[in-house]
Amino acid sequence: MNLLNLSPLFFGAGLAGLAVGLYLLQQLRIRYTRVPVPTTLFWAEAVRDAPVRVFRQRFKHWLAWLLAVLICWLLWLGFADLRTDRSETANFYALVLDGSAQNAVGDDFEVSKQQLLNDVRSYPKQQREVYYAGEHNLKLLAYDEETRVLKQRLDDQTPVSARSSVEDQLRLLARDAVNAENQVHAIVYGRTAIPSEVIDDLPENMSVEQRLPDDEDNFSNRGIVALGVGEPLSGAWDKVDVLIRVLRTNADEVTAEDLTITVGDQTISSDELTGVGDSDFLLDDVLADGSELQVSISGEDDLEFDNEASLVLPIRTQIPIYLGNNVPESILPAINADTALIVVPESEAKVAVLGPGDSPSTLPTFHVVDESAQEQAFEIWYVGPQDENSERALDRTIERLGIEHIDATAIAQEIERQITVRLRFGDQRIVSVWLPVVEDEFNFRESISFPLFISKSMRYLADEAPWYAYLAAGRQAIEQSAGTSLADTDALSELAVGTYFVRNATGEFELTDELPGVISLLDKTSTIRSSSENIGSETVATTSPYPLWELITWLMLLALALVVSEWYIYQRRLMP
Amino acid sequence: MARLTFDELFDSEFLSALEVFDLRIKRFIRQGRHGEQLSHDRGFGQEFKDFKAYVPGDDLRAVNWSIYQRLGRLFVHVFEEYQDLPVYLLVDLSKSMFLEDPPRIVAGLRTALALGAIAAGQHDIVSLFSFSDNLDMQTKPISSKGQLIILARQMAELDELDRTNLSDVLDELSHQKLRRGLLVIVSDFFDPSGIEAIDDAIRKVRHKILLIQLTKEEDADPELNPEIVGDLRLVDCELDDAIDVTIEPQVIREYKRIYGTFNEALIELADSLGSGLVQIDCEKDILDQLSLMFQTRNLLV
Repeated sequence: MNLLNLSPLFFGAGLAGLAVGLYLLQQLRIRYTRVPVPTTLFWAEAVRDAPVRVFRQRFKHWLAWLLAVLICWLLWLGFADLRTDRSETANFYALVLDGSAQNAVGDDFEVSKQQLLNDVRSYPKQQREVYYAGEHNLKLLAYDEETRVLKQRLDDQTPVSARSSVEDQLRLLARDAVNAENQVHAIVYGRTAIPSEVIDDLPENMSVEQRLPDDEDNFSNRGIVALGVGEPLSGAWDKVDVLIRVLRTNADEVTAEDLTITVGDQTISSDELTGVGDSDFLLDDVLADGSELQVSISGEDDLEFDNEASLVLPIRTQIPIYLGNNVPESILPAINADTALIVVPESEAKVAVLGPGDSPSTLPTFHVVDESAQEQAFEIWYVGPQDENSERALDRTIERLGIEHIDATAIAQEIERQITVRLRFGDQRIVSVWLPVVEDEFNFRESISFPLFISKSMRYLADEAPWYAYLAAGRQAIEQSAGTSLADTDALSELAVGTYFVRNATGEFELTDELPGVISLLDKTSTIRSSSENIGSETVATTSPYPLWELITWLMLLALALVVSEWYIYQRRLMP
Repeated sequence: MARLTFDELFDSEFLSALEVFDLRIKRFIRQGRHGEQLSHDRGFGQEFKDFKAYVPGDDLRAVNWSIYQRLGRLFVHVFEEYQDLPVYLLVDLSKSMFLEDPPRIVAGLRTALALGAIAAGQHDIVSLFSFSDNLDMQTKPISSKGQLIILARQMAELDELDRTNLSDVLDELSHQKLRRGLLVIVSDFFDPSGIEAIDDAIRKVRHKILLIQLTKEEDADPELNPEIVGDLRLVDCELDDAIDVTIEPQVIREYKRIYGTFNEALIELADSLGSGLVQIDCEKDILDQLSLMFQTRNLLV
């Protein structure tokens, strides 16, 4: 036996307080109703032997007091929420409704919703909360909130084209459960697959159960689970290869003819698709001009959300550079080998490459200088205010320029000077290098890091726009080409670091003017519907631990009966 | 509602229904003019009753000259004589008569007017007095049905006065030189001085007395009043005196006993005076109650 709302001490104090309070109230009832009468002659005589109650006079209305105390005690007991089963009061129930694409098949979502509504009434409001795992995790019903508001809140929710966030919700609950004293039971309503590692990581005082919408699993589906771009095998700088991966479950195999591909307004013939294995298709050398590429699967199946996927192709144009007259011969092969670069007159260039003695340029400049011209071997100028964020970005720039790959010790021994890098802030991007570092007589010129350094320096100086290899719902945006690109990825790196960029729902977005995108579902678990492992699941609600005719109902009925009795006795004038 | 208007009082239907009733007293003292009240004195009425020897002062028109011829002595005729009866209507105008809804004064005035109408119909002289703590005589007594309108108008002008002090009023009345007649006291008799004081005072009055007690059912059984529940501060409307009461069965029982004693005392008073006591329930039809009162068509006091 346990009290849910009150401590035993406070409960006992309340009982005593009510009894004493009512006793005092009985005595203090000295507010008389004023009634004018023709004469008080007879009343004066009548009350001579039955004087009126006055303050602190002998208490004599025991029946009235007893009834009032009993009624108040019953209400107090009801408020205290007496539980006869101690184990139940130690439980907390987190009911999680899956509103992702995984629960959007047929009427699964409606069934899950109804199951939740049926079940939630069974739990005391102090021991349950309801969460919605759709595009975002929402708390639909908080602790102690009235259950009746839930239906209206659920009516506003529909399953969305998003990966399931049930997993995230369970991890949050697990994190909180670690510090909780009671047992936490998470009940997931829906068919979303819960990874076994999530279950394995649960604290000892937490369990997860799943309510499936139905027993039968006739799920039939074909869907796109991957759509991405990468560097073309042809080596063409201004093109990309596109990978399309399609999976199926209880459905016919997907052929190239089943796929419709458009780039901008142009439809790509299925003949241009190359099948790779059972599920992959490759589209070679697609012009990287920033168009939107859309892929869709023809035919009907149970899940629509994965029948279409899109991405915005990157914009890859050659970087025009101007070569000064005194550029060392040693770096020209690296420049010529980079198909992303094209040599143009200074007026058309975006980047200037200058040697010792060349006139300074207003363009971002790769400058080879004499040792006497600067103190450090490498000086890198960064544009922007000097603050913590820009310093961090500058550090990353150095890293991406590949300077860390240089055998600085060997160079230092050869030129008998210390090789260091200096970071500077200015109005223009500049990469300035000692001449001896790039000359043929040193091994840096011969290393594989050298062309990488030159190429990355050119892209840094040109401030090339970044792009994404793919954008999938619920997954972190990853910089293009699996990190092998030579682009300046400052902005992308910023995005990739933070989890806020993870968007669970599909759709177009525009983070900045330079970074438009389309997020697709691309979710394998949604498309082929894997089932949860190591989780007890059932399709019907469990028997309520709190039946309708629980103790509180009887307490209220008893209190009502006492009120009726009091009224009857009062009407019979046996009680004032 | 404080009082009745003239139109409400002077209800021809009500007044015509009263014509069948007679009001008579057992004995009457010769003093006034001829009327319909039977006097114990023999006089010069219409019906012959006896002869008596002539004494100086007798009306010579009554001398039986035939007997004088035969016997040589004077005898005069003696007839049954009917005289008029002074009826004094004494109406209580204290605050208690105006308090409730309907106020007791309504039934009181209707009853008084009814009795006045009956008396005037018998050519008796009807005078209206009102009182609370003082006696107040209304002018112009009436002696015929044709003058009933005057009585009704006087009644319609009556207004609420102060507290009841019937004993003092009766004392004052006893000192007034009025022809002996019938004094009709219309009141609730809730006199703070008590019945004993009234008893003492009323015995000084030389008139025949008819007591009209205006009652309500809740006087005897206060539980009929829905307001009489719980803890009450009962305010006496006349004295502005308050008494705190917790309504309980014991208190109600005691109240009923005391009220019963009061009523018994009033009845005993009427009996000891040889007068009549009529209880009029203010919430019931007056005519019905008067019909019961005049069951044998006439009320003998």
